[in-house]
Amino acid sequence: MNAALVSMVVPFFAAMLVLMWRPQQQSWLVIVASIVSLLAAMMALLSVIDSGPQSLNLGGWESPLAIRFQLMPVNALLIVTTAVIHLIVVCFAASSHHCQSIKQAFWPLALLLHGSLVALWLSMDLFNWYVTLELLGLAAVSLVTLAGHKALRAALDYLLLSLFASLTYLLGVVMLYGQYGTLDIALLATLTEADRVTQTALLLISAGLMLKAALWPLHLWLPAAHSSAPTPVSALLSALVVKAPLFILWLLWSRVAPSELAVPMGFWLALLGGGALMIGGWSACRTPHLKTLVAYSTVAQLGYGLLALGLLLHWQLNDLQAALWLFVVAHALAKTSMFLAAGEIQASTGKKRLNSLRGMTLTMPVALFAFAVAGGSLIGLPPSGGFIAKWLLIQPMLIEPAHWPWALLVIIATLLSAAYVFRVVSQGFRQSSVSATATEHGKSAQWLALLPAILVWLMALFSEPLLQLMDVFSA
Amino acid sequence: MMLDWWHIPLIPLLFWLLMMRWPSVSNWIWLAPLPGLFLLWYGPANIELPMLWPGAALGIDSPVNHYFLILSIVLWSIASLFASVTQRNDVHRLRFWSFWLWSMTGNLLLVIALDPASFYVGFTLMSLAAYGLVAHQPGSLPRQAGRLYLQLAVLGEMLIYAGLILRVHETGGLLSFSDWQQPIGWLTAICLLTGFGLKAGFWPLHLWLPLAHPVAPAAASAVLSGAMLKAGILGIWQFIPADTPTTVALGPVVFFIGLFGAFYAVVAGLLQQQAKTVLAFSSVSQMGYLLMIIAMFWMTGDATSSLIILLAMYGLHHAVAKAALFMGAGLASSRRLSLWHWGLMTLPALALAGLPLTTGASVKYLFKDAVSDSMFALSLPLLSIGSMATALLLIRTLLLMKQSQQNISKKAGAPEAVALSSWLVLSLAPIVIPLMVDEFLLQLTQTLQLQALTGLLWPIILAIVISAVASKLSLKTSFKAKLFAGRWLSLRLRYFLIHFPVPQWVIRLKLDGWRHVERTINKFSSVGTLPITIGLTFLMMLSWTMLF
Amino acid sequence: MMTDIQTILPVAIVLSSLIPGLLIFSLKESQHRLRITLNLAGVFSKLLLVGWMLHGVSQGQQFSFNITFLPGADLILQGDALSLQFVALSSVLWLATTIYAIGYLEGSAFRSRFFGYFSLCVSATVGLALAGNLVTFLVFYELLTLATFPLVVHRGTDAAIRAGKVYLAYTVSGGVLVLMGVALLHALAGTPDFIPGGYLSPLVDQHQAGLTLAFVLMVLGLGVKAALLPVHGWLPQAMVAPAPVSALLHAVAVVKAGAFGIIRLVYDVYGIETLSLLQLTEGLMILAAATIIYGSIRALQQTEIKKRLAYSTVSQVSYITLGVAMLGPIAAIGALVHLVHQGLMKITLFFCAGNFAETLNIHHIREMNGLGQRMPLTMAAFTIGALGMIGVPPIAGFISKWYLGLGALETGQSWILWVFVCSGLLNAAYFLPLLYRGWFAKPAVEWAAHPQAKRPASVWNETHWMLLWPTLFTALLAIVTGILAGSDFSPLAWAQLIVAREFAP
Repeated sequence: MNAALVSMVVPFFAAMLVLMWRPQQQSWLVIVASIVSLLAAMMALLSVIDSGPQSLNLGGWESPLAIRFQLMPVNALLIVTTAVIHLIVVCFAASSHHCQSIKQAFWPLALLLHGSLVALWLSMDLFNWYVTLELLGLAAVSLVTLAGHKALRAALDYLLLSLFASLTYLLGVVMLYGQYGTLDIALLATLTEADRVTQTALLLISAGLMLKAALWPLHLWLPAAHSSAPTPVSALLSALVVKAPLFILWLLWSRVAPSELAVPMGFWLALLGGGALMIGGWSACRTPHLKTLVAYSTVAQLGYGLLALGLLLHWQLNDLQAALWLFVVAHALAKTSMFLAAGEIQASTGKKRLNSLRGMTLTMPVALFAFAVAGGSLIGLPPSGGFIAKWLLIQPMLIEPAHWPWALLVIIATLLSAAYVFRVVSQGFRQSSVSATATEHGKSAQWLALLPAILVWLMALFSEPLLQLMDVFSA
Repeated sequence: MMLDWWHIPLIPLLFWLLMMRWPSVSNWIWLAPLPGLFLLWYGPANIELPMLWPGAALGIDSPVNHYFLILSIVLWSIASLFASVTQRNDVHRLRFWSFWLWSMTGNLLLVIALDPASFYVGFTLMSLAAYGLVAHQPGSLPRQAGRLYLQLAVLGEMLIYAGLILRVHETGGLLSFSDWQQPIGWLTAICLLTGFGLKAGFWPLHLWLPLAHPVAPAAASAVLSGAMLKAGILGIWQFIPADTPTTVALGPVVFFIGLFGAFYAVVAGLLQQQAKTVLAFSSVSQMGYLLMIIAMFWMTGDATSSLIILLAMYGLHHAVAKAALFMGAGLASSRRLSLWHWGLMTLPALALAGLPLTTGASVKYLFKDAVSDSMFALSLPLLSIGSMATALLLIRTLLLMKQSQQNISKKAGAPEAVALSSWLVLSLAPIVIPLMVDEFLLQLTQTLQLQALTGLLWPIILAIVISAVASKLSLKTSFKAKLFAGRWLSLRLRYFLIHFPVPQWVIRLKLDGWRHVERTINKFSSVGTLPITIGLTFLMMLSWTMLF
Repeated sequence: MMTDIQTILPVAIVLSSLIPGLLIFSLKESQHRLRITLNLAGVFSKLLLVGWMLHGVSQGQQFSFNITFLPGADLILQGDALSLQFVALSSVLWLATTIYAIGYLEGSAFRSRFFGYFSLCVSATVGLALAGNLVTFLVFYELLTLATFPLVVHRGTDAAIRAGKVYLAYTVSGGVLVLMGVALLHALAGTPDFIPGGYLSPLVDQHQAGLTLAFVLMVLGLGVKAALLPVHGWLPQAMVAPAPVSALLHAVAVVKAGAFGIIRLVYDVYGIETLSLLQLTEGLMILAAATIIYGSIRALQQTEIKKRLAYSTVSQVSYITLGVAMLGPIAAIGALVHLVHQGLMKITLFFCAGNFAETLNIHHIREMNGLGQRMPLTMAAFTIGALGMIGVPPIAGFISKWYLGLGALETGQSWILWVFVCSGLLNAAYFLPLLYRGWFAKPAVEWAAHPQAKRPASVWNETHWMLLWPTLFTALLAIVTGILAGSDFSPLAWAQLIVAREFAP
């Protein structure tokens, strides 16, 4: 538990340090902080594996008053993922030739984002989540604006919608508090009844969360914001930030909501997930811009998460938790890789359009390879993390003939994702008219982009411990 | 043991390899088949070769393949000698000899094959390689003849394949001719009969024959007619068992097909203008006789029957005589021949018609004997007429050959010694063979009675008289090549295959029409992100509240 | 000690091409000596290891390696007789193709990329062959798709990219169907190891619909790679790839992966008993037969050499499927032996087509006139391949047709015999004109004007030796496997061994 707290506090502390001290080499400080945070996160994960879930009441007060932190296998895993991705992204930002122009404000904001995410994973009550969500949202919006005036519009949309979402969320929280007098998840879980107020409150909270997570059809802000942000920011947003509301949504509906409400809601969530897969995939197949394609791919892939969550609720099948969280982790890693690679390519060619990728297998082989490998996981090709998650998702669909239509949805989604990934990759194999030569500099950034993609394929090799982790949790 | 059965097909291949290195080896190819004669004399045991394809076994197990091996060896050897002279100045002689040797390999292999797979291997090799001989000469006629030959050969191959597989299945997987006595199915019998018949060239499967023989080099025609047609007959003999319900029922049909073919081919041949075409029809006619022998054997199935030896003898007889004539025709069309050449030329011609003291007399006598013993005794008179018809056809051939002498250039000299001597050997063979082979001599002594002699002679004399009268009246035949429906068919087939209507599935997504719709939606949603999203949020809330 | 080797050997076989492949990626374009060394080291070490394993399996040893992967489905690499048939074929043809490719690509760009993916492709093929259960098979099946795509689009032209997209559209869709099928079976029965006779028979009564759906899904998915009728469209398109790639795709890697998958599915997953209970093979048989005829007719209508060969592959690979679908031991021998024979013959044909294109820039059939004079050895190899495809004895193709035909009669499906007859006729109709042109027609004007049209001093120099020798090697193998079919080391003997083990009571 303490390790987890360290993992949370270090980024905050480092952010303060950067702001106050303003050292010449900010990046090194940030990297060191990220490494420390990662180590702490890993220790936290190990301790969870060793001794099971742990909780801590801040300030020593008992619930319902206390701010309660809880460490479970799932959020331990998420903390580690967050720390890994954050480390890779800041290393990328420090090493990439094209990120030199990034404003100094990036470093403290990224640390703030990291810290508030960890805090969110650890929290177990609705108000704490509200606070961390706000912090997260503000950090994210500020990061988007770093791209300069061209991102302002997208950032503004993001900000306004985020505020609107916070309002609906807060409204729902207030209603729940009024009804039950507590905001602690564990306590609420024992109290909730399937009445009108609870239902409305849950729906309000869900709507807010879905807006923040850009779940279809409330995703419109995402492609613009994510594609116009600076490359490391896009990676952080797509990989991590949108997952936070999903986490809350999951706990809310699987713990707090009574099953009378959760079962029909699951069906609708799954349907929305299907819609996300279809429409997001289709848009990714059609857009002419590289980073927009990656952003739409996020919309589509979040559909898998929503689908898994929806079916979990609808069929009341706890096995699907593993699918859900493996999706989240696999997608986070793969998307980091994809955005970093796409950003690096876009920055080096200076063009946004997809057809600027001609000849990339020669000029930037590693970046393109990273994109392809990460894409493989998004498609769900074995043996990757994405494959494991999809495998777990389709197992319950296939066992009952009545559930087969859902599998059809997965088939189409897979094909769409393959279509947009290979749309990019095949461009890279196209002969370029310019006799391009491999550029030596920027190699390290490309390799950093490849790293998470390799990690996501390695997940497949460690699928058994991962699944055991999930089993421990659901047991 | 230094020489064994399996060396026989390998030796020509060895020659081929040597020839590819040293082209002058082609002068010695006539040696390639000869080791077989040594083996026949030496007589090693039959061998099985489990290393090879399923069931492979080689050797000699009946008079039929014994004689057929002799005829193949003799023919290939002498024809090689002949060809080594005639093809000397050929631009593509290496190609010619390559196909020649491959063909020879196949032919020798199939004759000594004791199992269906080996037979099929040899048969196919021979059949396909012979295409190179038929289509060897440049020009459109050889090409067309070759195409038809190949089309029918491949069709034959496939029918034999089907028949072979059906037969192996019927016999329960047995892979030796000697074990193949089980009843044969109708379909199997017809596949095999047609498949081999396409090679043997009896009516009505003779389509390729009159086209191919005239265009092939003379030596090639000689082996085609002498040895390769016999391979078809041998195939029918080996693959289709006698005395089973199917063959007993098929016997009369096949007999009359043979009989009809024997006469039909004479009529068709008499209408031709080229010596080699006429000879080709004569082969068609003679194959009819061989078919009759097989049909009669099918009805009895007696292993000791004289029909077996008759088939062997007839094969040998026809092979040498017809090869001699083809080579003679080749000489006649390119070299100036003197009177004694013509005298020698008539010998094989009349031997085919059954001239006394030749192999022809032996086989005709035995043949009549066999027919009179069989249920077809009523057709005996027809056989005499058949002999007359054969004689008529061959006299016509000789006349046409004589005519072709007028077309050759003045400078053409007498035939070269090697070519001449090889032709001489074959021409004299009809009277030499009876002196060397007991079976022929035995029959020949039987014919040395007045009644038998007149029976053999009158058709020939009558034919000579008719020919003389006809040439006096100068009967002109004006039927042209209309008979060659085969050529037309083969062209149509080619056209049909190239233009065969096949459905093609091509799915084309037509997205262009939707492009502007998509653009509108994109523009709308990017401009109105805020209102749309907020509106949708309320809508979702509302609808969920309603729905639950 | 021995058990260690039995565990390590299957992995070592996969790694023997994977490691050189990965190393090659890191090489610079100019390091061609090192690249060739790595390639050849991989090839020969693989051959050695496969030889070792072949010996072991024929002695009845078990080779198996596994690591945990999915719940209830480990990643298993194992060597049994069936997988060895395919592995041996891949390794031998890999040798030929590697040498050919080195010669073919001499001096061209992107060689590191090419050989890297080339080795990955072989690793995936071998892994797929050695896969011990369906999930492992699936993993390598998908990897194969990924590894071959860069090879198909290697040239990078618009046509190549278009073909690559078509290829992916088909193979990825097929892959998804296979994935669904495997997942469905896993949901129903878990994923035990492949065993002769299959493991699904206890489920027939309970899960008829599920088993049927899974079979249909997987056959359709595998059918994409095996180029079965409605889903064969990628194959002729993929012809834009360089010749060694086409050769590899057609003879070994991709189409065979599909066919091999169907073999595994029928014999080792469902089992003959289950399939005859479910009555699923009728449809497969009809589909395969239709593909055979359709492919042949389409081949007739092509005017490009490689396109014609491609449709011929469509037709020939379905022989394997058909043989498997007949569910009889003799037909199984035919199918298994055709897996090898078709590979040998087809790779020869593609090598030859590559030689024509590389040496004299000949791509169309009409340009082949008189080639026999200029390139007699290549033309001879082409002749052998073509005749073998028709089923002319004693070339390898005949042995396949012999067993397939007998198998058809043995299982009471005599109509299939006529399919073979028809196909043989059509094969002859589309191959023999090429041979005629090569050997008999007058040399065409097109290539006679080519700078290389002059006949070289020696026949052995008709083209680059690295192009010529692999061609002759595979052509020779095609003949030898046919002539010496009865020997103990022939593919036929091995196929009989497999069938003896698969059909053992």
